[in-house]
Amino acid sequence: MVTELLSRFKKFSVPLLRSYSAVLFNSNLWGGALLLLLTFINPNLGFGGLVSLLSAYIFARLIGFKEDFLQLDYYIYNPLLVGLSLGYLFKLNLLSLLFLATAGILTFLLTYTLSSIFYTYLRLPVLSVPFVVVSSIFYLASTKFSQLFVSNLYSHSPILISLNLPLPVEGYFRSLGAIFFLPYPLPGFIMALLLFFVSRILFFLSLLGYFSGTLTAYLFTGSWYKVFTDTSAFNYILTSMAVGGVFLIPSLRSYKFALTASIVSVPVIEGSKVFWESYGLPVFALPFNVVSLLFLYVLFTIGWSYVTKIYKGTPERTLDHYLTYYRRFPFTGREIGLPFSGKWTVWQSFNGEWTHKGPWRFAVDFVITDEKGKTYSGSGTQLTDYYAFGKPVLSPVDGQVVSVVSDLPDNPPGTADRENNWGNYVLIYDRRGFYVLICHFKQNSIKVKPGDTVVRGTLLGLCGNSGYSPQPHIHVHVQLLSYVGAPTVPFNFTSYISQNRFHDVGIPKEGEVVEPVYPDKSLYHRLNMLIDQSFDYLITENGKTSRFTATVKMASDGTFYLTDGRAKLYFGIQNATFYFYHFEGDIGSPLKYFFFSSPKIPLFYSRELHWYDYLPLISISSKLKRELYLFLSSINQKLFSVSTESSWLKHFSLETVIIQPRKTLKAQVELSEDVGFERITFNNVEIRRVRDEETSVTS
Amino acid sequence: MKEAYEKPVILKLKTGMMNKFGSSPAYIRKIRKEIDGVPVEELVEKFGSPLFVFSEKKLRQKFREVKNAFTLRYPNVEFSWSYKTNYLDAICAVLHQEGETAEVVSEFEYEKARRLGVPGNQIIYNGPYKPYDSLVTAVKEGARINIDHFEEIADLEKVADELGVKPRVGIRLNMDTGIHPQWSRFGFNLESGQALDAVKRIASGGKLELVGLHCHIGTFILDPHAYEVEVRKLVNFAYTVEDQFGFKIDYLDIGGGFPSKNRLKGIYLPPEVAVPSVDEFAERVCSALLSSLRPGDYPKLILESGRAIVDEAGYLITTVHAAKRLPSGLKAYVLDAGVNILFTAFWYKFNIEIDREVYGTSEPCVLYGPLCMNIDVVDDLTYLPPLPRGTRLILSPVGAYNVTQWMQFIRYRPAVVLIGENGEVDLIREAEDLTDIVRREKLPERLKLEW
Repeated sequence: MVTELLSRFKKFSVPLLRSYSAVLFNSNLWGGALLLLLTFINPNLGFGGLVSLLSAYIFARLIGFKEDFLQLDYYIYNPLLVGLSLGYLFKLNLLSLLFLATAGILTFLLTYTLSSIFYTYLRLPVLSVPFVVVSSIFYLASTKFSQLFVSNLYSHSPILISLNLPLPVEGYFRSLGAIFFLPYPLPGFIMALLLFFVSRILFFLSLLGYFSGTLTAYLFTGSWYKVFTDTSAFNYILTSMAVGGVFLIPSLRSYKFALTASIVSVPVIEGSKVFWESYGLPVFALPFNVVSLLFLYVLFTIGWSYVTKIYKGTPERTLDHYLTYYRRFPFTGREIGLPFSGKWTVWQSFNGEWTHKGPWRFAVDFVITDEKGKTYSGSGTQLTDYYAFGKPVLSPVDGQVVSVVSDLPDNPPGTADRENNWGNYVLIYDRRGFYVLICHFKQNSIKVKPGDTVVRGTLLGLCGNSGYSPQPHIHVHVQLLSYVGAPTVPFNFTSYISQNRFHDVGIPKEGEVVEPVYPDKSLYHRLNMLIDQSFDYLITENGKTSRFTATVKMASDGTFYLTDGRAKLYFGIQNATFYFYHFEGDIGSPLKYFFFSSPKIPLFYSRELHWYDYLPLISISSKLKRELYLFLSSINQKLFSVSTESSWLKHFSLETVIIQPRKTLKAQVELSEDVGFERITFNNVEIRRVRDEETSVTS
Repeated sequence: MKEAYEKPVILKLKTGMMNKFGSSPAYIRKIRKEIDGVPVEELVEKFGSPLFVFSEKKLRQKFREVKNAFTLRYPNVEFSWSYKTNYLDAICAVLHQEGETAEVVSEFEYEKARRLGVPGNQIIYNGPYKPYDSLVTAVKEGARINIDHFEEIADLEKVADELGVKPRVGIRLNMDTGIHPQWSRFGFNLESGQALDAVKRIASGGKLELVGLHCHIGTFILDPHAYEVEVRKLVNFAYTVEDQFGFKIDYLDIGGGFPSKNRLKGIYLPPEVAVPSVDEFAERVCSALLSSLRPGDYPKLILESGRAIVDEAGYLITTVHAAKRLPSGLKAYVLDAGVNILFTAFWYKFNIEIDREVYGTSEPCVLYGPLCMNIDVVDDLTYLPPLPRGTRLILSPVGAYNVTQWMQFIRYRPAVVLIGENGEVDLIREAEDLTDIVRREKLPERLKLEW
C-alpha cells in the first residue's frame, strides 16, 4: 500500500519537478526540486506556480488526457510560468487562487492549440509563447478587477542581503533569477551554480547571451547602469541557450547563431517594451520567443543539418548522442547487399576514373581477380578466360523487378557496345523508395521477369559482358526514377568483409576485395532477444556483488530495449548485425556495460574477423573528464572520441578493446547457449547470468 | 657426345588404325627436373630416396580454386579439411590457415586436430565408430557431431545427461543419387524412412538439438549430377525436419568425394577429359541449392573435400634400382618405392615423369616396388625409354591418402618435405628408423638373446 502510494506520488511528482528544470532546458530532477524551493523564497510565487500548474494538470485529466502528455514539457512549464508571473503580482488568498486556476486552464488550452498550429504549419516548438500571451492577458485583465487589485497586490521588499557584487555580475544574476520572477542576486547566483552543475554548455551560453546582449544594448544606449539593471535582459540568456544549445547541436556554428540571436534580441526587447509598457506590462519572454522562433524557422526550413532531432536532457548528452550516431550509423536509407557471392574486387567505385562521372558517379563495378590481380586466366582473349564471366549475380535487395533486358550479345573482351550502354540489365524497385540497377548480364542468362518479387540473394542471372563493358563485370547503382539511366544517388552496401574487417555498412574503394556475409542462423537466434524475455544477472563491481534483471520491452516507435528499471538500452538487428543503438537513463545502471562491451556484433563468425565502432563519451568513467571532453567537443567535434575494436575469441564470445582518449580498456562478452548474453567482463566489472536453479542458492 | 650403348629391342609394328590421339607412346616421355624450382637431384641428395614432396603453392592454389568455385556461387560455404586424406601437421596447418575447419573420423584424428591447435568448435566429428569417451570430449569442446546410427543417439543423450548440456548435432544420411555403388552403410537411409525415424527419435528424446544434415555419397564421383540430386534431397529433408519438428537446420554438409586429376585404372580417357572440372560440380551443387532453398534462407554449405585439394600437390620421387627383362620379353624395373607407401597404386595409374633426358625409344614395361611380395606393382604397364640405374621417377598425383594409408611393412617409411611458396624446403616428416618401430616393443626378460 505504502509502496503503491509512493510510486503514484513519484509518477506524479517527477513531471512536476521536470517542469521546473525544463524552463532551463534540462530534465534534472534535483535541479527541479531546487528551483521549486527557490520559488518559495517568495511564498506567493511558489504557490502561484504550483496552483496554476495543478489546475492545468487536473483540467487535462478531466478531459481525458493520460499522464503521457506531461512528458511534453511545454504543457507543464507554460502554466508554471503563468502561475509564477501572477504570484509575483498578487498575494495568495481565495480570490487569487481562483484567478490562478483560471490562468492555468487557459494556458493549457492555449498551449494545446498553439502547439498543434505551430507544429502543423511551421514545424516549430511552441516554446513559452502561451505563457507570454496568457500572462499579458491576465495582467491586462487584472487592471479591471478592482477587487483583486485592492486586496491582493503586494509590494516587493528587495529580498535579503545585497551581495555587493560588481554591477555586471549582479546584473547577470538578477537576470537569471528573473526567469523565475526572482530578480535578486542570491537566487540568481544559486541558479547560476545549478546551471553550471547541470550543463557547462548552457552555463556558457547564458554568459555569452547575457553579455553580448547587454554590451550591444550599451553601444546603443550608452548607459552601463541601465543595461545591467534591465530585468528583461533574461531574454538574452534564454535565446542564447535555446538557439545555441538546445534546438541546434552545440557547436562553434550554433554558438555563433546564439551570439547573433542575442544581439538581434536587443532592438526586439527595446521595441516591444515601448509597446507593452504603454499598457503597463512587462515584456515577459516575448523577445526570446520571437527571436528564437525566427531563427529556428529559417534554419529548419532551409534544411540546416545540425538540428537536434532527439534532445537527451542536456546539450552535452544531446551532442554526445549526435556525434556517436553520426559516426556509428552513416546510413543513407539506401542500404543494399552486394549482388554476388564470394570474393569480388572493386574495379570502379564512386566517382570512378572511367565512367562513374557526373549523374552516374554513385555506382560500383565488380570483377574477380586472382592473386596476381589479373581478372582472367590464360590469354584473356576469350570471355571464358575471365573469372567473372558466367558467375551468378544475386539480388541485392528485397523488391520487385521493374524491367529486364536480356537479349544483347556479350562483347568479345576489349570491345564495348556503345549503343546499349547498360547491356542486359535488371531494374528492381525497393519499397524503401528507390530503384537498383544491375547490368552487363550474360546474354539470355537472366532468370527473372518484370513483376517478379525477389528477395536478397535471389539468383537474377549470370555475369556477362553486354553493353558498354570491355571485360565481364557487374555494375550496380541506385536511382530514384524508374527509367534506366536516371541519375544515381549515394547508397551503402551492407554486411561485407574486406581484409578480415567486417563492415556493417560502407562503400568499398577501388581495388578493395569484398565478400558479402549472410547472417549465421545460430548467432541470429542467440541475439534475437524477444519481447518480455528476461535475464537475471549477478554483477560484481568493486568487490560488491548484486543482482539485477534485464527485460526486453518495446518502445512506442517499435524499437526494442533492454531495461533494468533504471535505464533503457535500445537494440536491434539489421544489416546482418546486432546493434546496441543507444543508452538512455541512469548512467549507474549496469546495462551500460552491455553497450560498452559490444556496441555491435556481426551475425557472422570467422576466426580473424574484426570490426570497429564508436561509443558515446558517457562511456568514460571519470565524470570530470567526460564533461570537460563534451564541452570541448562542442567547440571542435573531432577532438575526442571513444572507439572500439572487437574480434571473435571463439564462435560465441568476443573481445572488445575500448580506446578512450588516453586510456584503453578491455571487455569480453560471451553469448548464452540459448539466447542473450551469458557473461560480460568490463575492466574489473563482471556480469554473469544466473538461472532459476541458481537463484535459490545465491539468495 | 658419345651416345650411350643401348641393347637392341624388337618392337612390334602396329598396323591398322592410327592412334587417334596423335601421339605414339614410343616417342613421348615426360621430363621433370625440378619441383617448384627446386632440382629433384638436390632434394634426393638432402633427404634421400624415395621422398614425398608437397608443393605449398599448388596446395593453396588448388584450395582457392575449389573454394572460389563454391563461394562465388553460394554465399555461405565452409570447407572442412578431411583429415583422413592427409593429416600431416604441416599440410593441415596450411589448409587451416586458408580457413578450413577440421573434419575428423576418429578419436585419434580428433586429438591430432586439437593438438595442432584447432578449437573444438571448429571440428566436425564424423564416422561410424565414435568411442563414448571421445563423444564426451567432443560435446564438452563444442565440436559438431554427425550421428551415424541409433546407438550413437543413445550415447549422445547419455553424454547430454552427464554434462547437463544440450548438444547440437547433425545426422548422417545415405540416399539414392543414381550412382553405383550406393554407400548405404553410413548413416540413416533416406528413402526407407529411417532418416525420419532418427529425427523422431532425437525429437522425442528431447536431449539433443538437431542443427545439421550430413551426407557423403561416395568417393571419386565423376558424375556432377549425383551431387545435384543429393543437394535437392537434403534440402527437402531439411525443410521436412524444420516444419515438422521445429529444429533449425544450420548446415548442410554434403561431404566430399570430388575427384582429382588422377587416372583411374580401367578408364581409357585421360583425366583432363574424363574428370569434370570443380566448376561443374560447384555449378550443379549451388544452382540446386539456390533453386530449392526458400527465399532468404542460406544454411551453411559444408564441403569436406580432401582428395580434390591435396592430391595434385603431392609428388613421390623414387629411384630405379635395377632393370630386368622378364621371360615374356617385357621390360621391368625395380624401384625403391612400392605399394607399402603408395597405397593408391591399387587404383590409380600415376603420371610418371623422368628426371633427365633419356635416349632410345619407349617400350612397354612394368614397375615393381622393393617389397619381396608379388603384389608390389607400382604400374603394370607403361611406356618408358630404357632407364639407367639411378634414374629418378617422379610419380604424381600422390598427395591424398598415401601418407595416411602407408604401411611400415618391410621397409621404413621415407621422409616428407614441403616446398614453401618462396622455394624454401622444409622437412615435415623425418624418415623413420629402427627406433620408431621398436619403441613400443617389449621383449620379455626370458627371451633376451645372448649370442
